[in-house]
Amino acid sequence: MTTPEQQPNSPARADDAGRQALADALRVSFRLLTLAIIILGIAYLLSGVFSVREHERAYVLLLGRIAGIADDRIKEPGLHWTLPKPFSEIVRVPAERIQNMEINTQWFFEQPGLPPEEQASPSGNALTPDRDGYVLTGDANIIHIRWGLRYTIRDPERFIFYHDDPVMTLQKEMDRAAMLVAHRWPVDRLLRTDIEAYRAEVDQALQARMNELALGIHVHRLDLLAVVPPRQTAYAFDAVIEAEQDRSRNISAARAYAARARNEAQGEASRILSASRAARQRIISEASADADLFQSVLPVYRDHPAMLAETLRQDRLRAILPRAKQHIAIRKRDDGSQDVRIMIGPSPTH
Amino acid sequence: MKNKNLLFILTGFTVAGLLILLQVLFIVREGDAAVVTTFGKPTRDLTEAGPYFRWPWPIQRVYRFDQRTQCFEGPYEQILTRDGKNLLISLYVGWRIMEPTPFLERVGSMEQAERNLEGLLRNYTSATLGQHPFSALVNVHAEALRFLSIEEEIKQAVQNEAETRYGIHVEYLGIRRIGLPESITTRVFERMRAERTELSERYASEGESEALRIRAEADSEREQTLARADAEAKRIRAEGEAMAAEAYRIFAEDPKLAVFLRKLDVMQDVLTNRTTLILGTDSAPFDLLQGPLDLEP
Repeated sequence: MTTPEQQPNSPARADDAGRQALADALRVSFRLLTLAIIILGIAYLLSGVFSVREHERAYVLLLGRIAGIADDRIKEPGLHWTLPKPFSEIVRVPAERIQNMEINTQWFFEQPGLPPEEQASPSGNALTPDRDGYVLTGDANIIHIRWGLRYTIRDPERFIFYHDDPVMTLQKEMDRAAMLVAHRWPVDRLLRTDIEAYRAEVDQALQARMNELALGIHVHRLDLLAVVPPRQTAYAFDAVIEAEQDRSRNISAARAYAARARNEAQGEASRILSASRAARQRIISEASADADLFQSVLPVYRDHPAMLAETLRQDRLRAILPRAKQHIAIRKRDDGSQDVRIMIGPSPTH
Repeated sequence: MKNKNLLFILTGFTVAGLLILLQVLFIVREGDAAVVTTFGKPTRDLTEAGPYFRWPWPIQRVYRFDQRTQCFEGPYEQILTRDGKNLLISLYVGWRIMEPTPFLERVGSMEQAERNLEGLLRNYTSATLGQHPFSALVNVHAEALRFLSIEEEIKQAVQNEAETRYGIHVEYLGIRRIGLPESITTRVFERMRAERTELSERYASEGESEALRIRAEADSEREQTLARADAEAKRIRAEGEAMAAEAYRIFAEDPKLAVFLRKLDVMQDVLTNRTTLILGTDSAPFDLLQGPLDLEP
């Protein structure tokens, strides 16, 4: 009984076993799927974690709007979480980095890859509007200027969400400010005497305009890297510098001459004065010596005039004779012939 | 088992819900603006960021625009000033979409907006500069410059038309470049060179004349100093002589002796070293050479 009963039952039993196995398999797959869904869900939520680097600031756009209120809108460096895409978007701004920009729009065209000395030879006698940049000066001269700018993003929200390309605007504003000031300055002040004042005035004009436009950019420093006359006129400008140097050389040589002349004249004048003072002293002393002598010999003279006179005369001759180179004594004889005696060289004893 | 079903049902609903949401929900991003059209007719202007609902296509359509300020620079073109000078000038303009609907209807795209602005810039720049001389733009006398007012004038004109016609707001406007046509630059160079040559010559002659002046002044100063010193020296000498004369007063007591003493001095002064002295033997002391003297009194 059991056998026949079991026979129709055996496929049924096999069915049961199959169902069981299927159910098991399904249960396992359900579990796996559930696990997968949970893992995917967690992974999805984790994908909302993002980091902000030290030089950056970031904004989270949640459903298009900036998430957070007031200061919370800006995400500082560190780890952050937000709802993942498509609910939110992360916008990063290199806010803390100082950016450098060189502006060559007012510089002449330079052939790329050529060394500077070959650049210096002007390609033509004119400036081509689309190729060569330059600025006019107040006295309608042409000059070339090169600028360097250092800036940071001060207001990232304005920088990113209010302006499309604020850096390009900054560049154009830079050109404008440089031109605006140059248009009222004469070329000599710009090129030579007042370069720093020009830079400062351009800086001021640029800052004023930056405040007005609120690009979210702060300009830290404006450098005037170079300002030159056009290559086509450079030698004429150099000649002026040379002439100016010649002028000051001439003038300083003349000043040196004047100083020397003044000193020499003063020296000569004091020499003349001291000589005259010495002469005065000599005249006075001689006079008083003469007077003294006179006074001292006068009493003797009054008594024996001839003797004193002869004695004084002989004394003087004694003092004079040794100094003479030659002594020639001429004797007149009674018969009229002359006898000449020559003594050569003073006697060594005198 | 029930819990699991619930999870699956929830997941299914979420996915289906998201799919439907994507059809009816759209996001206006910060810095963007949008226009919603219903069967092609603009019905809603959206200038605030955030999520918005709409009927799915083909009922409603969304047009998005960048609402940030765009910087557009016109071409570098030649214009004529009032005094007939040719100039090259280019201007830039910062513009933004003010009302999305008129913008969509009359302009349609950013590129078209820039083409329109280019036209406006060209018109008003040449119209405005045609009323000003070249010296209003370039001048060493700052009070004659009209640079800022010219910019402002062009800005006002462009702004009025851009706003009323295109729904565009002009935020700022500036002149970026002013130059000269190529052929004129060579003439400017010629003038610049001539000016420099003149300056060189002026410096050279200035240097020479200044140096001459300084030298002449120094020479005359020297002459004066020496003349003053000579005069002073004469005065000092005269002073000495006056005092000597005072001392000589005593000579009056016996003028013959005074003259004799003076003769002795003069003789001594005149007969300096290395002179040749010729004396007669009848004069002392050489009278000794003549033989025995008569010493008898």
